[in-house]
Amino acid sequence: MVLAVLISAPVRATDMTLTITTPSAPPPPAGSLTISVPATFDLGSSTAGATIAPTMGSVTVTDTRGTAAGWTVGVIASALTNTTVGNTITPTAMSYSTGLITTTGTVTMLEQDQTNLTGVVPIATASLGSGIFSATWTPSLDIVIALGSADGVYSGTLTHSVA
Amino acid sequence: MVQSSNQGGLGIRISQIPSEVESLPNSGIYIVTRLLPSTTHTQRLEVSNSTTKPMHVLIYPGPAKLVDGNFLPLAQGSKSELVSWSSVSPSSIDLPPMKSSEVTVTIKVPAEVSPGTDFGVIWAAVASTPSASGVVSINRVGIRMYTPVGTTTTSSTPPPVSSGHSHTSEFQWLVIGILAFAVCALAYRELPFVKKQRKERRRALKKLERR
Repeated sequence: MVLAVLISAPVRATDMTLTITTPSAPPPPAGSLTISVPATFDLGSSTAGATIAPTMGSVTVTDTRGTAAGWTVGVIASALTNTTVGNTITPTAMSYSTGLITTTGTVTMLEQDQTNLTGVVPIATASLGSGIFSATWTPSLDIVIALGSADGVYSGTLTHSVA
Repeated sequence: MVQSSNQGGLGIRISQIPSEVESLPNSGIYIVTRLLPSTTHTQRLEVSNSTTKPMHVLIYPGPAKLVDGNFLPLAQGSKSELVSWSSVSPSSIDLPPMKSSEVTVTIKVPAEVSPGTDFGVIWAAVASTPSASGVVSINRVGIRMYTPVGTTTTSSTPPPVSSGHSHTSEFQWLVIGILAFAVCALAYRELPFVKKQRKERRRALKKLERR
């Protein structure tokens, strides 16, 4: 928060103006690798036999290390578990695509779409970077709901890892 | 464009490079310490929150492997000696907006180790607020560990930077030796008493021929 107290016309009765502004966040600290904070996302509701494509927030990775070392982003999903009957939708039924990756600075991004999120599978690799650079994408996640899946609420975890 | 890089997030960096690895390539971005049996290594990292909101961060070691030169993290729970020797303190931090905090990684190497290079990652992770149905999204960022274990193995990655100075090969030494010998032999021929001896021998030969 920035507080700026402007006092005008000191001769007359006090006229005070207070301006409060919230600054936008400065770039991440030098020498670090940074990932944006994940937004809450929901899977919505669907019927057995359908494919769902939940809306996810964008992911940004910023590299201020100043090396050409690059990094890899991996994704892993847990099984989605039906909280009442214990039925699961496994990560083998999930696909992930980064779609278009927007970059700032100098870097080459290699995208790798995945159709099985069981392991920590690589979905994007940064190489030939120099100076400060960043990459942003909005993931597309597809989940196939098998026929015969039990009714109910399913929950699980999706993890992005960058190193 | 500026907007995306200014969005901020969860960051991690090496805040102190151990003196023994200072000269190694990539020691400023990876943990590359050689792990000798019965030793304990510590290294400081800095975890930062460059957003305008508070952040709850978990910090922990995780396994990784190298496949065809590609560094790949493994799912939590995969077997890894390096992970079992490693710990991070504190293991969770509440970071206020725009603040950073140091954590210490400790690697306690047991007496019995099998030589090789071990891979891992020190992760800093932040989770989304669970959705109404309990779906959670986790983003994590990490410092890679490429640690040679034992005395005999050399660190396989990161690649060593070419040191620049060339070494004289055995063949070159042979050539130098032959040249030195030739120079000495020529110089010997030109010595005054050697010249005199040669002249006398020639004279003696002529005398013999005349007879």
